[in-house]
Amino acid sequence: MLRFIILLAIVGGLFYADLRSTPQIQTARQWLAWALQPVTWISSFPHALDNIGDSFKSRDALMKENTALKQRQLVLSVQLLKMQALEAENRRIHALLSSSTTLDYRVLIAEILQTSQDPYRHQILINKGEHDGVYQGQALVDAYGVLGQVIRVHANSAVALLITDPDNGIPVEINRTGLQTVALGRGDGQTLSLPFLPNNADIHVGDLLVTSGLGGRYPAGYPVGRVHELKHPAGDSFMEAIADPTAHLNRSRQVLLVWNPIPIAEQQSALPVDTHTHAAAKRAVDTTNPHQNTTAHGKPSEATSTHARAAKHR
Amino acid sequence: MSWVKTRSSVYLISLLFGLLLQFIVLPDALTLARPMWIPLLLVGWTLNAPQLPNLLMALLLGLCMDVMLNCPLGQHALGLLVLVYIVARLRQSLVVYPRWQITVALAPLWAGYALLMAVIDELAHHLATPSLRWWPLLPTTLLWPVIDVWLTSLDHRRPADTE
Repeated sequence: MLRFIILLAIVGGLFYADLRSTPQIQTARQWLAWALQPVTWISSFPHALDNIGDSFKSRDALMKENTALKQRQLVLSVQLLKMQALEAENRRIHALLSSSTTLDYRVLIAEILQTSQDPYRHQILINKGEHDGVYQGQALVDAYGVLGQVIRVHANSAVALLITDPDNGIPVEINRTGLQTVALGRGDGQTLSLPFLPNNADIHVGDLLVTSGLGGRYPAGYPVGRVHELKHPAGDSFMEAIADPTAHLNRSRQVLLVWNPIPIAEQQSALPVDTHTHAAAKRAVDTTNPHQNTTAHGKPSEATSTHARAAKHR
Repeated sequence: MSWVKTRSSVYLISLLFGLLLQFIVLPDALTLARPMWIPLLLVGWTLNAPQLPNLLMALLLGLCMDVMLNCPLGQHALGLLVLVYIVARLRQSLVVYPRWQITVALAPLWAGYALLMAVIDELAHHLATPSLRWWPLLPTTLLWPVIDVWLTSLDHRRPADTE
């Protein structure tokens, strides 16, 4: 009985300290997460088995794939040239309008180490952490749309909350009309809910939802989902829209971490406080994805921003 | 190696293996059918070997689960501690019954554990889908006899001169 009460008191203390987010408990959590890394690796072994077939591809298949990739690279290079021209034009127009919304997105590719095996928590563990400049609240995207945000950062890994988690809300706008609202995860791992829409709101099935950028956590303009159902409860003043996320949740191995958009003007006079973080992130980008440096103009920062935009437009 | 040392090794390995099974990546459809491996093993050991440090292991494994699942630190530790403590208190009354009756008697305890997790989630403002919580209860209940048979068979191998 006494042993039980002592252990219960320890748990109570830990619980209280964790809810108050004391630095000591965060450090302890980080150490424990580090110590449990072998468990994470072994438990994600079945996932690794999926990729084992790639090791036995024939030479012919690899050559075919190589040819296809080269062709695709050519097409993308042409599109990139066009994009850079458009980007320059966009900057000039924004400068004319004295707008501060010209943004440069810095990204970093991360690999998913594990998806949460708890059916009521939609979270993923990625292989980039504090050492790479990842921070709490950072947005996560894939080639098709927004995936979620980082909620906990460890030294070499981070936990991200997917947009389908019921704890997650993301400010969105209807791409067609500009109507702004919030998309909440429904907890089923597949759909998003847009509650409390006025009954006469101009929204149709098939409408694309993009991030509105409100709140500053998610960069504006990334696809979030597509409306597939509208619910009009009888006698209710509001309607609810259900949307499917555009991002390939639980289907991709790589994700992009997006740094908070920094206006170009601010970036030129970068704050010394941010320099370290962004430098770490920059190094990580350079080492993680060498393709991003090999653009027509050889400008890494433009390459990263273009990559993000390419992801956005794909 | 003495029987006590052998059993301690089996104890630790089984709990480590349980931790892996709890987190091993499964297809989405099967995730809901995953038994609650850690509670199962801890309860099994508590009924079959109460002299082992089950409460301490409940605390440690609970903390590991909290970190792995990114829950408030102490959530699963509390659930496992309470579960193991209740089973330890009820042990004398439970072990006299046949296996199927113990299986039925443990079902409310699994439900209680799931309910406690739900309550803590609610307090921590984690809005989980309630229906998903109860799915693991069925596979856990169905798996209990298997775990019990295995642990009892271990006990049968004990030399006569040991405790």
